[in-house]
Amino acid sequence: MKKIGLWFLVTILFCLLVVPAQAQEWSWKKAAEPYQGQTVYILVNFHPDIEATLPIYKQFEEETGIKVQFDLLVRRQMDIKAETELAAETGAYDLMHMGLWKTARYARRNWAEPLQKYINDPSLTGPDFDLDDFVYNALRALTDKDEQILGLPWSTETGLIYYRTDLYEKYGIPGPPKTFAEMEDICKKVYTKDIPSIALRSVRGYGINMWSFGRYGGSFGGSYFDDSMRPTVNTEEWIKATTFYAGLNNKYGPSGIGAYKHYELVQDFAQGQLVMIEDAGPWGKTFNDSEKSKVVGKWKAAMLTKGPVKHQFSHYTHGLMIPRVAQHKEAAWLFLQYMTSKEFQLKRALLFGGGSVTRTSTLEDPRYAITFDFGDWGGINAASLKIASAVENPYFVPYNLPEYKEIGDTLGIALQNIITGDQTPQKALDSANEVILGILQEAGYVGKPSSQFGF
Amino acid sequence: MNSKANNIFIQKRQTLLVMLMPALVVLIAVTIPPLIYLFWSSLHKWEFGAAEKTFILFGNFTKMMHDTRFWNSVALALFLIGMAVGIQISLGLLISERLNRVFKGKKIFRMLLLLPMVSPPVVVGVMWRMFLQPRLGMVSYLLSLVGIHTAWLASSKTALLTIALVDTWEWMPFVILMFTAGLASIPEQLSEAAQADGANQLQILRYILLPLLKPVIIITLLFRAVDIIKIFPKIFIMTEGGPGTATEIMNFYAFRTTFQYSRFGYGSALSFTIFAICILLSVGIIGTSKLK
Repeated sequence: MKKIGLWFLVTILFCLLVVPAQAQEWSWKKAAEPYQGQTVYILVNFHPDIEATLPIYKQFEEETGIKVQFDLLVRRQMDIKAETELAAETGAYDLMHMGLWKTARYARRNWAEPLQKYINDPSLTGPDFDLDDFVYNALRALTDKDEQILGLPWSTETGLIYYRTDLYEKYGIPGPPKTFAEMEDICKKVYTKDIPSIALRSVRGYGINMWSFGRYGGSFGGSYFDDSMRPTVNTEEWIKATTFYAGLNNKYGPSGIGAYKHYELVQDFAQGQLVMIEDAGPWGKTFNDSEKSKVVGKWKAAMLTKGPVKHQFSHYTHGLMIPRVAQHKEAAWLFLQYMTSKEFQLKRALLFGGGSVTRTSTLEDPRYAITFDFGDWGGINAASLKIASAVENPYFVPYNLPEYKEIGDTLGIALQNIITGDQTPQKALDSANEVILGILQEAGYVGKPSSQFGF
Repeated sequence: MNSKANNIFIQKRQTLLVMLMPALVVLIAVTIPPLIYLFWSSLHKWEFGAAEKTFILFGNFTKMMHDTRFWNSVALALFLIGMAVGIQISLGLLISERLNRVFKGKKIFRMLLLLPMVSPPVVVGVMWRMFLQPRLGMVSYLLSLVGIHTAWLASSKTALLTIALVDTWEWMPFVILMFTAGLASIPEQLSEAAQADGANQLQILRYILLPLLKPVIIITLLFRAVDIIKIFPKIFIMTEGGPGTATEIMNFYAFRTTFQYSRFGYGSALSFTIFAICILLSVGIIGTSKLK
């Protein structure tokens, strides 16, 4: 009995002394030792936060001896290349872009490596790696329906309203709009042909006009499906939403608005050619860059407006995942862990201004608020992200369906047809509803309870 | 004697066949199997990356018959061919007839004429998209000086026409080159004789040059029509098939279906149909023109 007691004591002492000592000893160098000399190939899109990553990732190479090779492409081309590579199982990349509406698609095809086993491996994952510190919706965006984490987020964003303070002052507008009604009212007051009031994305696409319009349907009280997963995008609420969105663009927007994507919105606003735009959070950095913008010091950011029924937010999360067929999974995990760590996110934000971070600790760091003080951007962005990413604010858009790309594109075509005046809202949405019904029927969803899909 | 000549002929034919065989084998190997695979894929319900595919015979083709977006894409392709080839052939004839004459600076003019054709299609798309940007584009600005204010790529009424015009800008040199070469091969004496008989320029063109140029016109027409069915970079860069589906021609719809919606089976059916249309078009144009 005494012997057992002695052994028990020795074990306890071992746990108390040796295990923490080992944990403290964890270092990038030690974790990377078996993988030194490997090269991690990454496929990702051009993005302000990736631009901010490039000058500082070399430190990872120095610390670990693992090389990192970025393959940067424009978003659409990257999406097509990524799915082609994954379907062909080439194993050409060790890390690939992962995003909000890719998670369900990749999970269905078993393309992405579940990350839990790497997270749980103390030899590969540092003791400071804190999963709970990720912005809630950012991590949720990359988690599949079976609660498997398939990617880690490096940038998360919601929409913001950017407005010109000098022009607001000129027209006697006291502050940014808080509701859709105020938004239209301001548009009426500030419109001139030379500097139109507003521009919203018009070009069709699940990630283009649907990214900004997505929230309008919900704001007017619409929903994508009824209780039995039949589409309902042609209801009165959707007609009001599309009419309002198209109306803002057509009545108060620039000439040729029908061909505007986010690039044109940003370009026009940065060149001082628009009073307001509603678009993604990361653009704040562009508008504050005197090499790219003529409106430095003349703009501010505001939170997205409330609709007549709901205060809905747009949302997107960029992440990286390890393909199931990747050749250097462990090395890839080490870099993914490094790039999304608290330290790296804070460093990236403070040194190079990539402000759309995915770590709560960074968003709450006082240095973050000071660095991004321009145009109220930092505070508004952090506050918007907090609301948009709260547990009680689930996505309105059906990103969790693998068919979302096709559904979103169909609705995007309808919206662009309404904006260009080619179809009435009723006709365009009826037609979209019919096409979406076909997509859902083919997927075998119709007739099943919508709660089963999280709606 | 006859039998000897026959033997030589057969031997020559056999040698020719043997010499041609490697090229034929390579040609068949690189063209036929992909087509068979494409057709085989089109008989399946198959999503990109899915392990299993379901054989549905002509299910995808039946679906295509009821697909309004497909028919819209066919109609758009035909409109585009009609507009672009119509402009290119008629203008090309006029310009090449002028170019066939001797004038000062002809060589420089010919050289400059070739520039659009040698520009990469991606560059052409980006350049014209920037030129036509309604507020900052150079062409839009110049047109606004003469009172034309149109957002060329933002309206479904003008987007396809704009694509046709940009295609004309890019490929007109090719048409002119073909016609100039054709005209150069026509003996000048024919025109001179007609002129001596009192024919005017229009009559010479109508009764002498056009009939003799017919084979060249048909070949040019064929090249351009098939090329336009396959048009991709300009649409991808300038309109992405929009506004709505106003410029989503067959080729682009097949691309979207296959690579964006991941419907590999249906996309294969669309692609195979495009291939069949190209073949039918070629056979039709050559057949009706009695070109041999």
